[in-house]
Amino acid sequence: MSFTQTSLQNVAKKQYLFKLKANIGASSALIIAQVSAILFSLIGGGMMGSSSDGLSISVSNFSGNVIIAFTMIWAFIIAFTLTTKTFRNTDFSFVSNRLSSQLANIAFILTFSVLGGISAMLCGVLLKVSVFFVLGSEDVLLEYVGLTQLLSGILVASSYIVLCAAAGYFMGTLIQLSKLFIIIIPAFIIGPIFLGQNNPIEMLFTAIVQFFAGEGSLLLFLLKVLLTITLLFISATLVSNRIKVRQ
Amino acid sequence: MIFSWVIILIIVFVAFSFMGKSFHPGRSIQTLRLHWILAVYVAILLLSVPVYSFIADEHFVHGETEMSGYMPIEMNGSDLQDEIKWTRISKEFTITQFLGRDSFDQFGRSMHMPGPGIFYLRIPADVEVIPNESLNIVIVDE
Repeated sequence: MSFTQTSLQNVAKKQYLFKLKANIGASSALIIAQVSAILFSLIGGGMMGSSSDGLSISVSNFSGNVIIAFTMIWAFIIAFTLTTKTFRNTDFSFVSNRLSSQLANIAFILTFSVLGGISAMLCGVLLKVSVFFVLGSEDVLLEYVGLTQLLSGILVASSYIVLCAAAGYFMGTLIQLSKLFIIIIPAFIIGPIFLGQNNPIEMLFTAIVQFFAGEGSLLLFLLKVLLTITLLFISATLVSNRIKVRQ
Repeated sequence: MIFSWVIILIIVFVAFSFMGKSFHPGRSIQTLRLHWILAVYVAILLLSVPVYSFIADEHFVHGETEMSGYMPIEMNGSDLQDEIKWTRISKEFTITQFLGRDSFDQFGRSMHMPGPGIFYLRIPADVEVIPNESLNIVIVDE
């Protein structure tokens, strides 16, 4: 019997700090993802053109959307890997319980998502500067992004990234509960491609995307994200309680 | 493209030049390398903000968007052989979502029906512009 008194908060904090140090390699994956996204974006997306009577017009669109999308994928994978056996076994190095481990994981995911959001928006700025220098200033139309817009962009990008991370964490936990989900989840995601247009699953995905992306009010959007990630994290915690120790 | 390669080369060069000098006992060299790479990456990202701010002050597009829809532009005198190229640097969907514009184009509508946009076109002074009711033309400067 130990005479050392400890609290849930202290244990979770220790685990969180340990996870931050142990998973510093995740940031190198983020750099690779974002640098690759910048290179992809430099090719130029959303090109459109027209030609009429000898006059041809072509418009190339550049934006940091690919960078944010890559960062979302990175967050999904990082959160997913946290639920794998290797990562879960590191928690046994501490005197802890499942709740403290879950709290540490959630804090880790939130921290990395915010870092991902900040770096993704700054990468967008770097892309704009790169395009400007590569293509020259003569035929470039630049939409001004002020500091307020940049900060709100960081807030919203972080929200989207944490949403993806929470979804990845929940899916990872489901797979740890039953290996059947390894088949069910990809089938649910890839299946609609083969079912043709206007199938119920595709409509459900569209409704989910519209629920977040179609929201015009920033406060309502943040509220929606907060409620969704809370629901996903609570569900993941409840599911993980059903997983056997060292399963 | 060249600029991005230069940035990557700078990141790699600076990270590798520092890592050999800063080894401390008890810290693995891999962690040290990563710390330096991270530091350089963050520095580049932070540096891009004032550079962008400087460029934007000089070149950003003033005013609101006025041209909508996808339409061919016809010019009087069909013998004009020319190619016009525009590059538009847009805001990310995370910003445009809250500005009353479409955020995600789920069905690729941008290919056929792009949202409102403004195009600045430099034309020679001797070219006559014939007004078209489907095209809102504003002459900024003559």
